Amino acid sequence: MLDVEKQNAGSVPDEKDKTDLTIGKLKIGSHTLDSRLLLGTGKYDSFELMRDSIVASEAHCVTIAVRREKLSDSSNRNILDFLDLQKLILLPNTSGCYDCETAVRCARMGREILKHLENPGQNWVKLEVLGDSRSLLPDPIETLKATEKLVAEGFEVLCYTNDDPIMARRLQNAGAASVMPAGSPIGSGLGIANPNNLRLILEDLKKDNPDFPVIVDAGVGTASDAAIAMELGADGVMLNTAVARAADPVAMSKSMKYAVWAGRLAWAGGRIKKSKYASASSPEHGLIAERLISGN
Amino acid sequence: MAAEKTISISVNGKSVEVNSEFTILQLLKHLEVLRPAIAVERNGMICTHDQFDMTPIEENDVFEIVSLVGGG
Repeated sequence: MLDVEKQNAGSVPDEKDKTDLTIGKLKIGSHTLDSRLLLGTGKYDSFELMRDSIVASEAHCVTIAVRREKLSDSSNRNILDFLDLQKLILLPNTSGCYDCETAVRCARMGREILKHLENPGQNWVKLEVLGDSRSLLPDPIETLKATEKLVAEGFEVLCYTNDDPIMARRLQNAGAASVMPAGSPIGSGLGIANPNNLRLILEDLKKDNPDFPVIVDAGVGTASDAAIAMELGADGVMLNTAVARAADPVAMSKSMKYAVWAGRLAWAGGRIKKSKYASASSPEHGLIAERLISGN
Repeated sequence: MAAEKTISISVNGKSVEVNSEFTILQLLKHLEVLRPAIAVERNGMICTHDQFDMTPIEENDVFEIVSLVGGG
């Protein structure tokens, strides 16, 4: 086997890539995640499919929602029976909350449940305070108020926000452990609608602290969207619908794992500058014939 | 035997009549929701699990009893 074949024989990316380029580890607050892909647990056709998708994604952190317990329904299956709580860090969200007060209460309830599960996710929350039921875009004012309140209560707040650079800065200054700008509306599959805003957010939030985690949350439709987010320099990608509603969630989940790796490697590799003209890959000297037709 | 005295409380947005002597623990058993992975909020404040058996319920208490479901 030639040397080059030996080098290419392993799966890509291999373990060396993951550690050498810090592809795998993502530090958020007091947590260090083994994967930069965060996966949601909603909208799967079955708990089994959810479980298998999580395994395929190799995600270390999965989000979970807090909802009213159904009374007089003792037969329902419990999602916790399908989550490997020894391996996974649960990240409770405040999805469906439309004001600061409700979101804070929801966060406290999530923390209380995770305390009893003895899951390390008990000190953090993915804060979502929505402003519109159709677009599910966040209410920035209520989000900021809730961030301040939860930070004061000792929560590590991972803050879902729109892709507004000024708002992202406000949330960082309010003490968010991570800012999570939306690529596009939740569940829309529209991908990264405004890459330039993400660039501005990344540049600004990492100005004084290059390790401050920025995670693109929402809007991912397929693997290339996740790769684009990572190529831009995001520290991680959070997604749910793109996998859960895919025709084959397990296959899509695996593709997201590779896309996040590929995007991170591409970011670390440093892409070439774009040019409107070509740049020949082969030498321009030593050609076997002079150019017969003249041009520029 | 005297008829059981009941009081009206709210549980997850619904008004229910329950035994006035109930503690939170008895209420949860009565509602068949006593599980490790629940959180109970009473009148806007978290009620920790170790408080369940020592906290009596009161007329017009507002309870939220929640658990975890799939979400993004």
